Amino acid sequence: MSLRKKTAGDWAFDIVNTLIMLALVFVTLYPMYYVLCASFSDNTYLVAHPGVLFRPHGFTLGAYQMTFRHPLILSGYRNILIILVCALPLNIVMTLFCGYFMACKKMVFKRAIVFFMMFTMFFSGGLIPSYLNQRSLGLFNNLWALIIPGALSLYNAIICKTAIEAVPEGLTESAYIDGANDIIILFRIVVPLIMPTMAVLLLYYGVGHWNNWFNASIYITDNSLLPIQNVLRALLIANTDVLGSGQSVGDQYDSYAETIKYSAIIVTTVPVLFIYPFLQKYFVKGVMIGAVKG
Amino acid sequence: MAKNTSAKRPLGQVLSRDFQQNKWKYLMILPVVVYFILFAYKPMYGIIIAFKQYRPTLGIMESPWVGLDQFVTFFRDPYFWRLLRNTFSISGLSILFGFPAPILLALLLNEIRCNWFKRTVQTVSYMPYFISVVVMCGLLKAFCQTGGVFNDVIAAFGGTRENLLSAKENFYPIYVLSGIWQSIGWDSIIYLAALSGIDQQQYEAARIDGAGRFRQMFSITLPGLMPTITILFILRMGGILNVGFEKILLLYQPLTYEVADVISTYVYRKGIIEANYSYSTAVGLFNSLVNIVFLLATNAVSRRLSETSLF
Amino acid sequence: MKKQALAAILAALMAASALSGCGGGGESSQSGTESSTQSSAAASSGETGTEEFAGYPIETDQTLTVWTAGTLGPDSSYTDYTESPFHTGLAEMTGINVEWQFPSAGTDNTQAFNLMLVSDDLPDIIFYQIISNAQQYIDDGVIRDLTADLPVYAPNYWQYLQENEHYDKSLKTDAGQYYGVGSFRESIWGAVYAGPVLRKDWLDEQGLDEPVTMEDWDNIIRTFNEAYGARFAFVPSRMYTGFGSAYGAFATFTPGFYIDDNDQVQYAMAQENWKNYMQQLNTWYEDGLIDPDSVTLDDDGMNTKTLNNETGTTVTAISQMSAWIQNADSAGTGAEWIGVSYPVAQEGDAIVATQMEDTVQNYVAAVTTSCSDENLPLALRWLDYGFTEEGYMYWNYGTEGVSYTMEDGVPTFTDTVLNDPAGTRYGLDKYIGTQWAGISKQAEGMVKQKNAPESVAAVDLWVENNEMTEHLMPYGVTLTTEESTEYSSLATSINTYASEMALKYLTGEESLDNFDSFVETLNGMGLERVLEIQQAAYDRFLAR
Repeated sequence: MSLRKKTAGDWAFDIVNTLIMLALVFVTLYPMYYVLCASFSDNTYLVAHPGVLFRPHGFTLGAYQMTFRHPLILSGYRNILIILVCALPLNIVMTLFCGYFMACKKMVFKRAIVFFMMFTMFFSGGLIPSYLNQRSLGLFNNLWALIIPGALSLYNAIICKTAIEAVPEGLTESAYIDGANDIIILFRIVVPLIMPTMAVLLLYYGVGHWNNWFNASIYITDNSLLPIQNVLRALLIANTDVLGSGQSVGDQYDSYAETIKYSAIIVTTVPVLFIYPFLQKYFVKGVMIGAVKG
Repeated sequence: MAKNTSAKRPLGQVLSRDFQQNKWKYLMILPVVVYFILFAYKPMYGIIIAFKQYRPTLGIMESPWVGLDQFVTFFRDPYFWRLLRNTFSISGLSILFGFPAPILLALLLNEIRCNWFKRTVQTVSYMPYFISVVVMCGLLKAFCQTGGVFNDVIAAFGGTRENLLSAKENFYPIYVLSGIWQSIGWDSIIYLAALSGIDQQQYEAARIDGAGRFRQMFSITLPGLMPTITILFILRMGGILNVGFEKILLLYQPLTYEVADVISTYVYRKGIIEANYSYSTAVGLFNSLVNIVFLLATNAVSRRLSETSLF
Repeated sequence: MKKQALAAILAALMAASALSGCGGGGESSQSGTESSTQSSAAASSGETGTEEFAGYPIETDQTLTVWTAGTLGPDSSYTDYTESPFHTGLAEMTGINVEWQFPSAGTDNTQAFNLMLVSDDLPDIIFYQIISNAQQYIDDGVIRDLTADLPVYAPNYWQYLQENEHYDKSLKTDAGQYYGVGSFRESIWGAVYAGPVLRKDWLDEQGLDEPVTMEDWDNIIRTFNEAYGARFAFVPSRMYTGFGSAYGAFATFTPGFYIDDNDQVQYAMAQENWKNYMQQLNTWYEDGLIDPDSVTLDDDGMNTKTLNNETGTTVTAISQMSAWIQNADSAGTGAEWIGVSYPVAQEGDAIVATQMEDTVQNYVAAVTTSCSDENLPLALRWLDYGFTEEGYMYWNYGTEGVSYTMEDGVPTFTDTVLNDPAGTRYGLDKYIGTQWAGISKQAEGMVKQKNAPESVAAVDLWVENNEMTEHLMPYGVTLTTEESTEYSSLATSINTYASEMALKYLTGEESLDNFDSFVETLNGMGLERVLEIQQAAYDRFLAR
């Protein structure tokens, strides 16, 4: 560590930078804080004072009671956990295979196969054939229907490929000479070097599964198999006119119509927010110390 | 970095050597290829629906062919050019301002020396990503009303109060800025991961050479991020016509249709009249073709300039 | 095996008739309903008489599958319908076990419907918004033509159609085929739920009378503005409902088709009347009497405006008004919202253009082609239940002694329903089936009980002295497949343009002097063709 003195320019830079970051923290934290306050607030007060809110008004747990009263909440959490536990290992392996392949050079069929895969980023048969396809494969109304079809995201594989390409070629080549095959190289040499990217991929896939209500809404018909996002969506739709079509005649007014929107966000977001700090430790600098760029 | 060696040897020999050398790699890609065949190519026949008048009761195969009618309807629509222009404008502005924002954030975060502060900023900045669009737009609308927070600020500086969302000229700034706000933290995560891959010895060396913070940022950090930036940019350009409908639907109203109505919202409104799968598939196909052109062009330029490319 | 099943049903029916001495529905006929007094046994015996129907509950071990979406779902406090009192009770009352199929919670209904159609295993009965596509579904072999079967197996429903020409016309196709059992509102009362409302307390404070003409309204809006700084505010989609009636402007809904006095279909926003109405709104806007936020307001925002005394006059639905009243109570603002009549040009004029829906809902329960011939009678009996006296009571009020009691001959909901911890709406969802669309007639008495007294009073005013029924485009009007393809390719851009211009006229961004060129542009976009299509469809409807 060099104990070089900070110059005036460095000082100025640090101060400005810190201020920018503080401003960012404010504008991004405040809405979350707002949501938290709103979820505990009295519905009428919230309606009367849209916008700025610094503390919950007329503190009430009504919205949360309403949320947790729902009989599908527990099974919702259970289902998404099962999905995550089963899907993430599959996602990671598939993505590594795909990313590693795309990062390789000097292969006759590489371009053809990459093109074959990229094509699907732009063209798909659409909802109805996919639905029929999944039904014919038996991926319908069970949790596998939400796990296997989402095994790989090409976007994520491309991110993975970019990270693998940054791994110095010298390292893999010497392993080849030692007689290692590609799978050993991938898991023994490449993966430890791209841990930050692995963390990102886990986060992307994890949050992707967490937020994906759409597939479940199509491929699951049994309420007890619905993941948490769908349960909350059902709760919200029951309570509000989501896109404001104004056509529905909500004859009876709901006393938690406003606040329940916010409690639902808290209930679905907090678990995800807790995961991030655990992944953050992989973003430390200098993971690849000693690696020389090829 | 990828170089294509087109060898001038007999084909069979080349192939068998290739399989010999790369058998593990081909083995690895096998499940991936099977996956794509099963879940992407097997239902791909659905594209023909764009050339048919789909009737749910008849199914895809039995529905009558209409050739290019769906496309013609779309191109002949009185609003076609407006929709295309708006879609490009919104997407273009989002790329212009929204794409560099997370990179900038990552660079600045990288310069923070105090570790807990850095981690806090990171964690907090990605929170808005999880607020649903419906709730975010609800807040935004409340803020933009004549009595809302934004107008309080404007009034405090002596401006006149007006409903900000009813003015055409405000729509793009509101859309783009709220988009940046919502995704800046989340999008910066990938760059932060890439940053940790940069060799620390380079910074040491630069410091010894007397390079200041800015110099280090531009000559070491940024180049280190370049491959990631390039790839993400190419992918972003490949989605230039994909402007989601939900947020616009929640923010626009007839007075701002002129600038805010995009392809996806228009198709959505059409869908209210009748679930017209054929039409929306045709429009989707058109979008895809435009997207591909942009992706290939960006990819080609990038390969020329930086050697980084998708394929 | 199928023959055996039929034999089993017949045997069961006979056993049922022997066991339960009492006939069909005519048991408790003291309620104050006008229609369907015919007992099912009497009606069916008059028909071809293939078999004697012994009344409900039917003894059978057959199970029917019923697919529906957007209505009849079990209340969200149950995991599924097997726990729901309404669904289990219905099975008990009819004796028929039903396996309900709902799209999973939170799904888009239309999408679910389309996916259900492409999958191989259709349910026995589909209850969905198929009224405008029925002919196509019959032609494509998805649903059965029930013309011959309805009079035999659904005598009460058949009777109901025979008694009302409008219902009858709406529930058959242009070719005269009957295909299902509809969902009805007993009277026009349930079909009207939006109109002008204002602050009664302010009105009294200013010593003003309830407005009748546009002049009165102008006066009130100006007075409220001077006295309280309040402005006329509305959610944009409600602007169309607004005060158009005083000008004979029929744009009560955004697509804006109506029937004029000569039975011609017209596009409301292309009329001179509409221009005059917009002229008035523009004048108010220019004078600062209309809240400029109105162009972006949603129901939440409107809620806020009312709570903060920013508006005292508006146009809204009773559900929203109930919310405001409830909010005013809990916030203690003292605001008293009441509904007032739609304005007219001259005192004594009839109200011509109001918000109104058809008494025939677009939900129809149809029997699919995968329902076996043996099960068809059972399916129709099940569908007919809501039109028997007993079934009508069950669909609308639930179980006597549990969800309602008879007080002075009037079915009255119990506290279990009205004071459900989550709200009346949820209480009703647990016990009754006609809150949204049910396979029955929605009872006026039910709708009245679930709404606040202020809302009931408002609707009473709005349906009074009303000629809108003659101008409403019936829901049963159907386009052919070719027509609807052409229609949808033209209509979106026309409606986009019209709604864009409406707000521009309001704010003055576009001058009403150029109204002629607006109409020309509409015609250039194919309005004439769209009207032609609608006219042809309407004529076919009339000729049914």
